[in-house]
Amino acid sequence: MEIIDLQDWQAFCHGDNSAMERLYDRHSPALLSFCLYLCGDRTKSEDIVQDSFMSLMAQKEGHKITRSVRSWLFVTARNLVYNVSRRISHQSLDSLSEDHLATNSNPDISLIIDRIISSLPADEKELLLLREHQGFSVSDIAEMLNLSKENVRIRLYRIRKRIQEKERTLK
Amino acid sequence: MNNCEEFQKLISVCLDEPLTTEQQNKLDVHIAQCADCRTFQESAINLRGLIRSLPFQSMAQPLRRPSPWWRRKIALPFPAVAAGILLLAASWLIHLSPTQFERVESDAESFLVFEQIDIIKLEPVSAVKLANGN
Ligand SMILES: [Zn+2]
Repeated sequence: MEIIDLQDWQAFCHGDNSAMERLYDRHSPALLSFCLYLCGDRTKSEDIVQDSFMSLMAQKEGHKITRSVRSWLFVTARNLVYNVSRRISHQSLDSLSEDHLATNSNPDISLIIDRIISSLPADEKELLLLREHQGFSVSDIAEMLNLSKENVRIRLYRIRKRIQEKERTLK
Repeated sequence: MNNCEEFQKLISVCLDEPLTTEQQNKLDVHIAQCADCRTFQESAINLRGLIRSLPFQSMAQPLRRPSPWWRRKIALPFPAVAAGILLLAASWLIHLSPTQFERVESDAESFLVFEQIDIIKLEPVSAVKLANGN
């Protein structure tokens, strides 16, 4: 995927606007899901996805993106989620809203996941989503979040351990 | 490496990256005889399955494009606008009854004014601010 992304990015930089549409079609659903599961607000998440792509287009000058377009989009979106959440104090990152639950097709699964994910602090929720939902590798995540790989491994272990303990208490 | 915590760290790592053959063998032997570590492994795999079952969402709107610069709101600071208007008015008045010397000066001034306005029009827009905000 990264090679196709970079090819489309290069094409966009050389004036092919349809290449940006291809990038949008390829990545906006995953990006929207990430923002939605992170902040729980659909309207805000859609705006953040749009802003992330606007921001990507603004990188055209000087062809600033040289590595992964996908990682770049996710880092931009998560920064925007945190900025929005900081501005709107009543919207807690630690709770998924009913809006999120309504969009999930299977209520049983969404309830279980809601219980699991909403119990995590924002940084752990983000890490879990990047790894388990979006499938980023440990090295990708380390680079995206500016952490060492060892730190990412330890955090993932702690999240998994904590969730296992929560499951025990829920049973 | 004998305690369960170390093995469970390895179980977690093993979900994300391949282990060395030696690590994998030790882990397999341990898991075969340790119910606690088996439970942890099942829980972590189950968690992965649950999160992967979360659907991807679709955007309600197509890609929004940045509007061309001539349609954007141009944020001109009030003093700059006032100064620009005054200078333009002054150069126009000078044009009405110019001496040769005054005319040269006024042309230079009005050129300066136009150049300033052009530069202001190309000021960074919101998308660029967003990019810089990262
Ligand atoms: Zn054990």
